[in-house]
Amino acid sequence: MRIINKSIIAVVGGLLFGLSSCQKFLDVKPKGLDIIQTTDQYNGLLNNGNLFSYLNVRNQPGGVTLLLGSAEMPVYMGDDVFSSAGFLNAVPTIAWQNGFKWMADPYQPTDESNEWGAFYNQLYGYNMIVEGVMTSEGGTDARKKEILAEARACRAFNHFLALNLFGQPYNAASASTDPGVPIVQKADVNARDFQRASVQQCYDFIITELKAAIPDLAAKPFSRVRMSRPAAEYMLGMVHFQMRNYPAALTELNNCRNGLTGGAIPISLYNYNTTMTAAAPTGWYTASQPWRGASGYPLMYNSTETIFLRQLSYNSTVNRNCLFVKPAILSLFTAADLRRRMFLDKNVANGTVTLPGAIRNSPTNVNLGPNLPNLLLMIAECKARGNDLAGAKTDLEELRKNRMPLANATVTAATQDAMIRFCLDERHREFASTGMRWFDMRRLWFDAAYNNVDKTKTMDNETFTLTAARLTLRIPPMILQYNPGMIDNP
Amino acid sequence: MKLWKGLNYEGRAQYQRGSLEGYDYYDQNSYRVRNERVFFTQAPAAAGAAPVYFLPNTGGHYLTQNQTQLAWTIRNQLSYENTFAKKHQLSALAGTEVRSNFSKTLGTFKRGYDFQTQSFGYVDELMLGTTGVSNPVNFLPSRTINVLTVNQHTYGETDRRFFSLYGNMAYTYDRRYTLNSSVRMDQSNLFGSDPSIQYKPIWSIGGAWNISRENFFKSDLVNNLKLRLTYGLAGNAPIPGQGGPYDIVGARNNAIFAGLGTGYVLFTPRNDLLTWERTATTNIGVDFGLFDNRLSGSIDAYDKQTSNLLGFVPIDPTTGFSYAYDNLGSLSNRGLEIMLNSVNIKSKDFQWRTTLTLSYNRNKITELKRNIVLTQSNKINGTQMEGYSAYPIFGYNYIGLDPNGNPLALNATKDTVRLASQLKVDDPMYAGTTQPLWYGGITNQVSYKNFSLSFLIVYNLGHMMRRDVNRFYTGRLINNLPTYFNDRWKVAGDETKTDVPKYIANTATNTSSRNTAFYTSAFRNIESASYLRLRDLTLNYALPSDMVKKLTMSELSVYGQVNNVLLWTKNKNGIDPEYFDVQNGLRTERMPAFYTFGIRASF
Repeated sequence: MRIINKSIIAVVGGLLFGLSSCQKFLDVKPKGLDIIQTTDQYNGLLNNGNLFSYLNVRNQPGGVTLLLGSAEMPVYMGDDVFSSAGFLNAVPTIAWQNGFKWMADPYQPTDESNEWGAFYNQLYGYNMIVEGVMTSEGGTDARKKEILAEARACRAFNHFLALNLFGQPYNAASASTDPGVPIVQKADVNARDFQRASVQQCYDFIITELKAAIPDLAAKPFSRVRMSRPAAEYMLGMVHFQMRNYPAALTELNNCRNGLTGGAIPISLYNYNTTMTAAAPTGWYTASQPWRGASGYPLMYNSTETIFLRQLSYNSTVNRNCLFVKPAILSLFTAADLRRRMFLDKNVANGTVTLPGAIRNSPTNVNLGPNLPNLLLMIAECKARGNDLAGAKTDLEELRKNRMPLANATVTAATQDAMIRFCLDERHREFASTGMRWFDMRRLWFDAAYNNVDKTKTMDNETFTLTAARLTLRIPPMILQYNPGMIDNP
Repeated sequence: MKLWKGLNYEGRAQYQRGSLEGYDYYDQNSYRVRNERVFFTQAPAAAGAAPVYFLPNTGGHYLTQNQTQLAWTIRNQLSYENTFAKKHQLSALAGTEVRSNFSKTLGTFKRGYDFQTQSFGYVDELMLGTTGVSNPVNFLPSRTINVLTVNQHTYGETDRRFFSLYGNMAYTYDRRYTLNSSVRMDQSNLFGSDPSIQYKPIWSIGGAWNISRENFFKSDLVNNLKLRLTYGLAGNAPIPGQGGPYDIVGARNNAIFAGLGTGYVLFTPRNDLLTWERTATTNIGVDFGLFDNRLSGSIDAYDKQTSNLLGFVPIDPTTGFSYAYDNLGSLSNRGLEIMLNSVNIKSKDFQWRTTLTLSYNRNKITELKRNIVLTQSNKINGTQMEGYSAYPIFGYNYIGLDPNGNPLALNATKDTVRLASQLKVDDPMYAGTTQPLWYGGITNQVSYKNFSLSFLIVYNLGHMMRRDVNRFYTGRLINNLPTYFNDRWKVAGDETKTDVPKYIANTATNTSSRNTAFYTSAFRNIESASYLRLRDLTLNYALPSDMVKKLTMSELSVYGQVNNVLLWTKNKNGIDPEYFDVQNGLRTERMPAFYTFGIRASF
């Protein structure tokens, strides 16, 4: 009997031990996965290679991401390009072919729009940071505020770009009633029935967020893939510039410019007089293979012209040789302009096919975010519009002397009107066939004096005409299906 | 181990270890190695000079994979069984189970590996991964600078731990009335021991009444009759780490962010509204034995209601996610299960036994969360939808060909249509389910002296399938075609003889002028998938035991077996529904009949 009792004690004791230690046994954290709680983890969310490119990534639970494509629509919708059916029809994304033709409904009902997805799918992470970083563990208040500011500024800029595709162009008279885009400020997969805020509400949100972020950001750029104060100032300036509020834009852009020096990373223009005249390793241009253009152009995150990278890759247009720069745009280049070497009517693979027009063969990305050439061009235009012609001339020449021999870089525009037009042409020369033009088209359409939008473009014998309504993409049908109450664009 | 009167302890431990090791080697002359090198080589600056290689220019790719798995389970169980005062029978069981599954993977990748000397080349990973190589011999699609993105090493470890508590108890009075119940709780180490997420018990309760033991029950015919009733509630927890109250992240470093802190990516978004999947099951059964158990069996009827079904649903990309793990809806399953055992003939030399199983199941999706409006093509493609079986099949109301040999269909309001765009969601017609309603098997065993013969017939009845019609009506011919292609419309007037559309070479004309799916997915091309198959037949001869004993054996027999012998199908097109994609109407490879002969010997 005693023996039996002992064994009962042993067994019951063993069970009790099992119960009490099971908590410890289960508290082993599964490796590789974690619940987000520390400031460092929130900081780490910003160190994500998918965030500096505008790519439509299908975020699926389980950490599985599927790359669906770049948000290339603006490149196709530019008024600076024409095409040919044989090349355009080879583009696998039908929506882009339709976008080139300025069709009313580029997206099919089953399309997961790259342009919608690219700007919205990054917001979940930014919203997570906005909601949680201030109560996270292990960071100083200043550090938390800096991470918060970075997320808010990036979130605002994504809304700004989405607004310039799917919202009506800014028109002060009707902005408060024109539909913009949904403002997403919560990381919530259960959110339903998104509604479009008005264009004015969108811009108010974007400006408020950027203004709130600026003081808390790092004063100097420390990385081209992380946000700093000058980068946010640039964004705010670009927003005002897009709203045609040039004096306000100039203030912010000057703030940005003043903050660029003295940081951990050098920010300067590449001098095409050396890079575009020599082959690797000193330069980018191989004279014996002109179809490669600026093939040695550094990756955008290494480029010294990048202040903060928001990259748009358009390599589908380059590799399929499908968008040709209009002759009128090519005629804006002087023979000495070394940027002209990035355009050639030969296929990029080996230069053996002669194309119907010159394609931009390099680089295959553009930085839609803060970059030095656009900073100078925006400042110059703001100054020209404020009748500071000398200032505009200096800034234009600072860019131009890095793009062509000094002797050819001089700007000769005697009147304010000529100077503004010169600035607009310079934007064409710097950004032809990169998608940057799309934002200028929307900005200048309502600018009675300087609306230089070319409303027609051709594909072989077909001609397409741009109307005001087509400056705004219709909401992708899939998004409308999910949000039955959402209004579409005309 | 016996502890006390009726009380037993049982402990069980299991330990498992597995490992896998392997390697791949790509020689320096293989396409893979040479192709990669081209992207990371600069052409010589001048004729005759050497190219600049950024990857080793000799040696191949050497990849190794190692996997180790370690699993153990410890189970402690106390059981008690006793009868008091001859009438009260009590049995109970309680236990704990602790499980751990641990696995580790390690993969290495070296370039420039020489298999003979076992030496490898060096690569500047950081430079190739961030700065990249300019002006290479060949370009990656980015066309400027080539960047190397292939990971050199992979290392992974998963450690999943589980703890369970379980118990059940049964009380029987006078071997007539039984009450039983069971309960189980599980917990794991995946995200939080928060009781609201884990520790949800699964339980059931039931009763049984053994009528044949009642005093009033006196029957020579029925020697066993028992009624059973159970009700249970089972929960299915959301997969831990797949949605719940937390955003789950994982570390992912990217060389571009070097020096800025560990990178994190979001693995699973938070989903506060996720709840347990719940299944409530009611079961009524009867066990019986007749004619001295010559005929025995059981009949069960069940009703299973599952709510808050868990699964992945597409969601609005505006949220940042295109798919979410969510509670989708509710499903109802109702059915019958019958089992019969019969000893048909029982004599000294001759015996014949039959076992019959018969199941009937009808399921229906009673509720389904849908984020996108249902279209007519969803129905044709077999999308799950509310109010229908979980595997529905729909067809177009096809009415034949027009005088040009193009298919015509009717919509719900009986208007003739030619294109899919003219159809609305209510136009396809429901033809049934692709899942069998009735299924089961019949086993017969006949023995005469030393010979025995057994055979199994399986059957699946009541479900539907698309016929394997020709689906090629346009474009270039790149595959073999079914002979039905010959039946197509060829010349004017054929529309009275055939309903198979004509062939149009130009794909664009084909899609803009007609919809051949009206024919291929026609309601009239959906037919019964019912079948009955003689699965196997075995003839066995056991040698006489006195003879076997002389060979110092306990048993020696020879047998022959035939599998997949006979098939009866309701369809007349030679389709074997068991080897067929019923939803899409495609044949898959059939298992042919095969024969086995053998000798079985025991010593």
